[in-house]
Amino acid sequence: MQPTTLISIREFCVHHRVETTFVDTLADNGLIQTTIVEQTTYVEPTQLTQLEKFVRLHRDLHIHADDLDIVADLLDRMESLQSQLQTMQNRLRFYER
Amino acid sequence: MDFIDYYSVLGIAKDASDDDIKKAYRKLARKHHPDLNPNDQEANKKFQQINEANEVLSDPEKRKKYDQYGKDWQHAEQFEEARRQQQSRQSYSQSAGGAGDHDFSGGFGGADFSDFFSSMFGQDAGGGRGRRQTQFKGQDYQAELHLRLRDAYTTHKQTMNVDGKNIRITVQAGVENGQKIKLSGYGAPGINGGPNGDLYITFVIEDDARFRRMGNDLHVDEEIDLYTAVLGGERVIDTMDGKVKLTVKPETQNGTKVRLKGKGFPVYRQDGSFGDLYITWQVKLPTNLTDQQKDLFQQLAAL
Repeated sequence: MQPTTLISIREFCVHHRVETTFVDTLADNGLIQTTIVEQTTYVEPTQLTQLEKFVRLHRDLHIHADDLDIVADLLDRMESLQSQLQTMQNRLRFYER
Repeated sequence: MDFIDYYSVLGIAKDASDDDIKKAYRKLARKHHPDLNPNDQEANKKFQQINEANEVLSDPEKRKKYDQYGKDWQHAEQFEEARRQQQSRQSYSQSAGGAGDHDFSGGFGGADFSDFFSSMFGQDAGGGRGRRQTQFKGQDYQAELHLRLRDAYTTHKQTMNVDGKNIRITVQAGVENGQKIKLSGYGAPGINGGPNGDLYITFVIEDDARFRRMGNDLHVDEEIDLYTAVLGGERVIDTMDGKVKLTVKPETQNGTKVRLKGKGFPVYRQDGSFGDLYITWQVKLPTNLTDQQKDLFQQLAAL
């Protein structure tokens, strides 16, 4: 029985023409969560945006799957800093008036 | 349509080798890739240009045509048109030719080549060699929605035009300046039956002439005259949701702050929850004093 809400890794990899080992490596490094049902590995649709981003980075920039966790970590930090910057800018705006 | 110098886009010479093109593309793509530059529309645009330049220059046939017609690309269009007319007069019945065998170059830039590119190589020319792989999700769009502070105070519906389409959204009360929301599926159409891209809306909240916002709190300056500050009195204050009568305590100092709990800005997605309103009393000293007033002040000073 295939859970309809999940997307099989195999199907995803065929779709995007990447090796299943690529997705396995991402999962091993904790970048995505996979679910195994009856010996088939799936991802939840909520993971797709992130997974597709990794595929693009791998394909467009030739970044190895093992190195993507560094990229993801730096992007997370960048996002956090941008959020802090926005908060600071809003505070500064308050005092500048 | 302006001529695009693909060589200068990639920063290479006209006689650059395939290897030079590949290296230049990779270097620039790493710098401007939209996934590495989230929320940066300039980077997104630049990446599209780089992608397009690479698409042309890394394909020997396209590069040849581009080199041949270059700045006179309009003539290429005329030439192609003449060729098409000539072909249509001939009775060849070629059905599925090479033009149908495309592997769509998706991603951020592939689906959005310039008019210049389309006029030279046709609408469907992107990614013809199948080097890049099919993408299913359409391109994400970025948009800004400008609101007045008072608009952001209440939950309301607003219509905005994105890419020629009117989209009606609900703006939740308490939205912050610079806050971004995602509308799934409101981006560019998906490719090969895939899902549409997403629309990211960034709220830009304009300053209000009266209220200043700090998080969920509001701040406002209110003038009181010297006599009210010294002797005390009452003032009616305009808040975001109506008027409030306040007592000014006797001997109120200039710059004294009064907090009105729950009279500030609504907390985002927390119905019924509000920040506070801080009122700063600005004591206004009298001017143009009469002789009698001056005399009375001197009497006070001498006491």
